[in-house]
Amino acid sequence: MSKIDENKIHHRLKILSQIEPSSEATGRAIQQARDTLINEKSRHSASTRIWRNIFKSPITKLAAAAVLLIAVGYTVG
Amino acid sequence: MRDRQKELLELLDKSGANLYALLTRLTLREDVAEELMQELFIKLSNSRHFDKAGNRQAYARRAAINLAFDWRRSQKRNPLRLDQVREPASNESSPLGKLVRTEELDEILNAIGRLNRSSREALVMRYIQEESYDYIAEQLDKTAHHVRALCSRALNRLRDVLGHNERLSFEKETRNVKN
Repeated sequence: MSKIDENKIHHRLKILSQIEPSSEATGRAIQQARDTLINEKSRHSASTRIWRNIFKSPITKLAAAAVLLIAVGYTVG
Repeated sequence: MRDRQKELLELLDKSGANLYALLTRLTLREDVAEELMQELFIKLSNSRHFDKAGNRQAYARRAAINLAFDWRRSQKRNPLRLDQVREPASNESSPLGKLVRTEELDEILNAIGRLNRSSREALVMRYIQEESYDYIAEQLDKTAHHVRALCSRALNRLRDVLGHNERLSFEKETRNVKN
């Protein structure tokens, strides 16, 4: 099998290593990742809060049990 | 969960710029690197293995490398339309030079994507991130000797793959000239 000159590979790798994103793009990327992490956190706690509320209230607890029973009834029947 | 978020925010402060530069070098696109950066931190935030990882920084870098090469593979399956193409990240000034250079870099990155994961990671760290063998060995939990061997094998494989590509394009050009 023919092989490419190793210097060519090193040259291309060197160019890749020298690529530097702009400082604006870097700042933007870090800020977006930070926002995503914080939103993930609030999204996660919001969904936990909803489930906690459902299982705290006796009415919603009863409704959830009824839905579950109906679903089981349909599956069995 | 709160501890995980705090740790990830610290990781972002400490290594965010490096991870973003790595993603840009592997995708050649700042806009794609921005998206992958968000995806990376969502993945880390939902990962079950992140807490168990001895070296979180190494874990994040490995995830970033995998994400970038997954993106490259998906690009090969769904090539971009011309109107979707954005300016590639490159140091070349003339448009034609930029195009040729980007093609060459894409070719070598696609060849790196065909290496196995440990060779790929060692090669990326050594030649694209320009880290020392000792540092790479520490990060990958291997000996420096093993890392040297991985890099050497990886370079040899790249020579095969790129040599094969070069031969194919030469044969194609010869056929075109004959016709």
